[in-house]
Amino acid sequence: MDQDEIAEHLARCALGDRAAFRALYDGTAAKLYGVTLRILGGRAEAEEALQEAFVKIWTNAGRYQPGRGAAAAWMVAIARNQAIDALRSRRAPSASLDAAAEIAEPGPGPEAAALAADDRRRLETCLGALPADRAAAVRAAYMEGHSYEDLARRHAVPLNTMRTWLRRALISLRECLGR
Amino acid sequence: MSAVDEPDDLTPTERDAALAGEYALRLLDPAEEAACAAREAADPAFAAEVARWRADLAELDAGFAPVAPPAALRARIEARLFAEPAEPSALARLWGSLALWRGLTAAAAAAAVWLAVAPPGAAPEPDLVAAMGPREGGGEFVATFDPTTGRLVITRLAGAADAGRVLELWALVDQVPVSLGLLPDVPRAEIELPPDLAQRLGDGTLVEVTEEPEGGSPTGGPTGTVLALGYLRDI
Repeated sequence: MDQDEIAEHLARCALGDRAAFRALYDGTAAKLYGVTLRILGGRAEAEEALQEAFVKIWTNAGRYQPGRGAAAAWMVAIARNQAIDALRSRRAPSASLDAAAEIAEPGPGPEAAALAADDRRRLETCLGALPADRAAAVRAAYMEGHSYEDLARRHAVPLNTMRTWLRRALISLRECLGR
Repeated sequence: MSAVDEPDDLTPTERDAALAGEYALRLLDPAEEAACAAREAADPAFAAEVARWRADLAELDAGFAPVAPPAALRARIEARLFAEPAEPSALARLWGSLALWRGLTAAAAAAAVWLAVAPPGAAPEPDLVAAMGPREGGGEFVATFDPTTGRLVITRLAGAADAGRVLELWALVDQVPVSLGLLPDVPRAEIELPPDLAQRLGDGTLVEVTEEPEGGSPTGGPTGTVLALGYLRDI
């Protein structure tokens, strides 16, 4: 399913079209399951997160704004946030971030969306310019859902050390990516 | 954990750029995330910074390898989202006898033959019908529509707007919701659609009724609870 098809199906879902939901699920579930499985590791938990993600996608389909970024990225962000919420609630039952997850819609401005097409490899290029360990930490945060707490534990350094270290990497990355 | 308090040599701009990135990556603890979410909602510059990070980081989405979920999962999700009402609604009973409509159509066809020799000016029969079944707002409506005249008649079987709110009828036209008008608070209402809009409605067009603020949706698209939804069908 390409971006236009996903956007079209989201618009139909926003009006309550169940057939469009089924087609959208069939076209995207494998990708989103790949996301929740990568972050959560276990199949049962990943299925649960995928289910919650699709409930949110159906409920919030009207919030997707076609001019504000790729439709597939919007759906991946919902699945990723759902999986990360599940990951963190394993350890801290109070850490539900439903509100944050719902606000978490990728939405570049119109200019950024126009640029995105030209700059498909821009992030990879900029990550390549960072020291390898920092690029790996950014990647792990995104792909595995690691928090500062997780990263500090894995690298056996104090949390604030990890944060200072990675913040500088993020500033370099932002400079490289441009505004 | 608490925010980093030690002095650093970052400018406020750099600190915000880094914070937006930390938030987009979800590196922060729950309290910090909640603070960032509140700031994202209130501070457009910060929200734009976060949006830029999310758009840039989405390039990594290509790295998530697709895995087919178990086949039964789709049915579980649909059962949860689309649980049928416990007892058949008035509309389901009415619509259940689709034969009724088919009969009306046959009668209309017979009438049309008769009308062919009858004086012009006799009211034509509507040829599209939408049975709009209940959604969250619990409404039921039947709409009949004649594309040649643009005349739409909507009959309310169930559902009403809360005090100070109004009902608005919508159609999905070229993937964009278009308002067909506000519904007066009467069981049966007629709406005259302009010809350019009328010709864009046809078999399969999705129509719905939502509850909106007085005066209608402020945004040009549906904003409130969906009372009922259905498709226009040729009968």
